[in-house]
Amino acid sequence: MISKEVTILNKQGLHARPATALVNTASTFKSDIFISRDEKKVNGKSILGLLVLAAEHGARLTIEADGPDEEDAVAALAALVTDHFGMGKHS
Amino acid sequence: MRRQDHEINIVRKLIPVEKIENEINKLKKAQDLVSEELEMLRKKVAAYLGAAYGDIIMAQLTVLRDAEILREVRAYMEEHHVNAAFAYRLVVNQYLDILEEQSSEYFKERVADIRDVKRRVLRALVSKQSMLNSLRTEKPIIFVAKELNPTDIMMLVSENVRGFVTEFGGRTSHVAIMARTLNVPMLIGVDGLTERIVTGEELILDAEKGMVWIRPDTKLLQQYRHELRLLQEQDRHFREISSQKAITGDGYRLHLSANISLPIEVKDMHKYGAEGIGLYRTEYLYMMKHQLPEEEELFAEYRHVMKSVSGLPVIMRTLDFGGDKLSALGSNDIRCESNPFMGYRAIRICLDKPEIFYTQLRAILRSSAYGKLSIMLPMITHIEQLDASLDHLRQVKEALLSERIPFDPDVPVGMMVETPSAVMNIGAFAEKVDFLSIGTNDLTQYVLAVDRGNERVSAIYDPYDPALIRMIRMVVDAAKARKIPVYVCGEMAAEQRAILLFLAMEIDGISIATRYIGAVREFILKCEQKKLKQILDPLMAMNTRKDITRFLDLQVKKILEQ
Repeated sequence: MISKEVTILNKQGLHARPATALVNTASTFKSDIFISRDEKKVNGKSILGLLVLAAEHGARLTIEADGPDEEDAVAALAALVTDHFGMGKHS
Repeated sequence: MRRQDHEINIVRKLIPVEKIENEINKLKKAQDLVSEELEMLRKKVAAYLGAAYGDIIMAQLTVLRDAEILREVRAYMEEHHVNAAFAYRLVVNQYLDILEEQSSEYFKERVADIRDVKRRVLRALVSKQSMLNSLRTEKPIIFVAKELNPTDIMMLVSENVRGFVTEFGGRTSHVAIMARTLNVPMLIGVDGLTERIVTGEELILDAEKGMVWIRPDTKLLQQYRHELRLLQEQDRHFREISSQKAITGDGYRLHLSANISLPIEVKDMHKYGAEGIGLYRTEYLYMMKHQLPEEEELFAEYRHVMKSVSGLPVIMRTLDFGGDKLSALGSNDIRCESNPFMGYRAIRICLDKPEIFYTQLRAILRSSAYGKLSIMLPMITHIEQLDASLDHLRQVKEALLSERIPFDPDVPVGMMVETPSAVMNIGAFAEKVDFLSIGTNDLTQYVLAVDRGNERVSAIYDPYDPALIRMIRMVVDAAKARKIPVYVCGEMAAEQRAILLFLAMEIDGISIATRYIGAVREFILKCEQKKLKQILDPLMAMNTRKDITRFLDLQVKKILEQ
């Protein structure tokens, strides 16, 4: 199992579209994926789980993956967050 | 007709262990039905509103397919031996409870989506068919429900559904606007109707008169069928004359443009031969979602409209949010106001929150590279507001120039004249803009100090009040003195008596709902502008709206009797 800490850079936080993008990316990996914030830990392949985290702009999240493609999964998800979920730097 | 229940009644049932798998399969089947339903809805929404709105439905599909929900529902069923519908509702409600507690506005949209998905799944689970399947009949349908949301309307507007009746909702609600925009008859606020009819009964819906006939007799049916045929013939005629310009018998041309708020309406605009879009209401993009749209979304939408009008002129009005629609702006500092029409709205919001204004101006300017676009500013009350708006526009232009993004550097900028202060100071305003457009709906309301939604005073609301007629004249005179065009874009502009008034005053153009274009064109073709100029002096001397209306109606009658 490996993990990595990231910060939400989008001004509007982890709302509808970024959460959907995260779920879609996570779902392409075989590994189990968990995202946690403080004590809350949720399934990274569940949009409802991600929304429950209520991660606003600046929130620190830990991405955790466990499985055959765990390294690729964490790298891909961390890149997605750093890239503002592909929605542009001003989003 | 077909009626739809408001809340689905779910009961807790005990399920023996060996049947749990069977129950879960039922849930999966229901999810498949909803998936099909949403997929179809996504296509419709994308076609009507643009791809960005199809994405809203994508988010619902993600909620529907959520792996965690199915896992938790299964776990709950295995522990408590209950039916799938009960477990599903419980699990989703737990998530909704947590999400609703979160104060952030940005999650509210999601809550509404999740609730919508829940409703669809439970309905499919209980009735074993999706809303769409239940509509697959040969006969045309009038859809009766307690309440509907705008996406329901969009989905149901197919060959079969010809009209809607609901028990709840207001004339100005989003559903009502959606139905009007899509040109489907809809009647809202028919209390208790779902209790009085059953699915399959015959129904006549006369949305024009605001009536529903339950189990009509043969005579009434015949009468309505006859009326319908006449309307269809008239519609055919309007389409036949759609390529003619709206020119009076003696050669005066009144530009006939369309008001639109959704890209889908461009089709009707072409069908009835409007000569452009005189008022593109841009609020819809902000109302559909509970969060502010991004520049790229707005740009994609505006560019789509610019391309689909095939070179005809388009006047885009910047955000004109007001009153009840404010909450959709999705910002925490938008509060309930005791007097929203006098409050925080339109240009006042844009100047107070320049980031909102900038985003929209950038998107509008960028789309100006794709056709003949003009910008129109709403709700201007004083010169400083106009100056500040023009200043913002200049800055956006400079930014686009430095980023080498194409736009039309000479895009005309005009203003709506809809406040008494704008009229009284119109000479100064006319110096600074490229055109004026009189918004008679708001102007009437502000001049007569009357809220026309308030039944107790709505009789005071009348655009044919002498005060209004004189003010319109002042605005026209100021525009003529500056040699800039002047247009009218209120509801009255579709009325025959108003057309006479505007021809007499030599107004350059009117913008009206697409459905009136044909009738208005036909009327203009019958008029003689030079004769009408003679009615202006006696008209301006009249002091009561009764005199004015009676006088204009008499002129209309004369023209129609020729």
